[in-house]
Amino acid sequence: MSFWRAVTAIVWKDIRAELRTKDIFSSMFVFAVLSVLIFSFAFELRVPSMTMVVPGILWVAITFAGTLGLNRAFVIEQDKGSLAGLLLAPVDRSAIYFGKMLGNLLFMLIVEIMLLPLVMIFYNLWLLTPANLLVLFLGTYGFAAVGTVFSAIAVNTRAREVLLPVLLFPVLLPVLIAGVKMTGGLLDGETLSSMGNWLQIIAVYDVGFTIVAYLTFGFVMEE
Amino acid sequence: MGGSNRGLMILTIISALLMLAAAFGALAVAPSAVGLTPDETAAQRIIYFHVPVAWLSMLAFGVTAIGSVVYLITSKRLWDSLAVSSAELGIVFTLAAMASGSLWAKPAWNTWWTWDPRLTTYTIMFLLYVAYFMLRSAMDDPARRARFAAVYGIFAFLSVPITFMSIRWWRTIHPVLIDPKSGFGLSKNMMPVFFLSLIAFTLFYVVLLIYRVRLERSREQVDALKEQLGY
Amino acid sequence: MTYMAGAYLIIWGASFIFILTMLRRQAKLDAELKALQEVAQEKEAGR
Repeated sequence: MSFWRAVTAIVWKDIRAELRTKDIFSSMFVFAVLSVLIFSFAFELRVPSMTMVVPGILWVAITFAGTLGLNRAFVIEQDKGSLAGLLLAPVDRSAIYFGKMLGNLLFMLIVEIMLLPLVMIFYNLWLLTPANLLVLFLGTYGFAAVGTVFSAIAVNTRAREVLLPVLLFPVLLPVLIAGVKMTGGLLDGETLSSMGNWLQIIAVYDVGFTIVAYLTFGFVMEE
Repeated sequence: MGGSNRGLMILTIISALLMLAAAFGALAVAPSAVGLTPDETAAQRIIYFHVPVAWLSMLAFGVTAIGSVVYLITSKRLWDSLAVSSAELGIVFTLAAMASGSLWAKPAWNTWWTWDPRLTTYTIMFLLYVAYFMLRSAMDDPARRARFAAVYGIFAFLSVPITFMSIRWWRTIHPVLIDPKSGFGLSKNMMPVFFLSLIAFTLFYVVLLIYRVRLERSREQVDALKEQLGY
Repeated sequence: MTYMAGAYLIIWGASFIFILTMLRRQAKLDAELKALQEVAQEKEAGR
């Protein structure tokens, strides 16, 4: 089976499975909204202007919800035994990686698109600019690229999903920092071109770790 | 085996002697820094130990990354033993570096800690390797554990430079109150003792690493025998 | 002065503790290894 056919097949499989129950998706979204709310209450009383903390709140909510989504994606595979089926198929291991990663990315992006209007309403901000969306996409991509590998690892340990944040968050810091910096900058009225160095960092991160993931994912899938 | 044991003994003795020489050099031979209060002058001598230990901790994590890569390529467990041994040494050296650094910072800048880019990245590096060990302890099958730890080790190591860059750019907008570079400069007279200390600690690291890898191999032998005998 | 003494103590102390624990672990493992090897040999002899 050709590489991209396999990738698309895997993504479709995950989408169809999710459409049936909408489990992962709804918990991700609810968790994201709750995170935003909790942080709002946490900062409301001490911060001079809530606009200052919105980028941070947004990215933290994405991180938490994304971790939840990553976890459940692989746990369900393992529980249903469908991972073994995937591995038996004559598919390149990296196709499994890209399929899973794109599926995770898609779910996260959908949650974010639904989350943005709520954040905009809560804080009276306009966030639907192309620049903002690009920043969200690049950051989420980095998250999915690394997170997919780490959740495959975490799911196979005794601690299972609990280990994923421990493994993921330190490695993910550049994405978080760059994301908050750029989203904040855009809210402050700066242009994307003035934040070129941040774009560089996130580009290096995204491309670099995709390559590393491509090279190492096979080792994670071995029995 | 006898030959390599002899060699290790000799190396150990040389290492111990060099460490003593370095300590003597740092405390007695090295010239005092000028223009500082008595407390700061004494504290400045911490540099001879603090900096080598910090550099070695980073070298140790580099060795772990290399061991991880070679393990994935060759599947030879020796490389995994090297990776985990070096990571353990790395964590010990990191803690020693942070503790000695704090004790140097207090008299020098009047604060135990500062969130400058280097220290922040260093802390994150520490967390990465704690996570490495948490991953290892959560896995029972040795071969899988080695493989997964190797993959994580590679990701972790590669993330450090990118994290450093992003924190440095993040911090340039918020000025750092204390500039760590001032008061750090080593004069030409201090260099010999510094290099002696660096060499001593590097050899110390190598010797410890060899012992630690041996320990790891012994443990593997024990586990293999246990399995063979049905325990 | 106290800071410097403290720093040196910490580095040396940590090194000593580490070396000692390593030596103890190695000794324990060596003993275990010998015991297991004896058991293995007896099994071989008993065959």
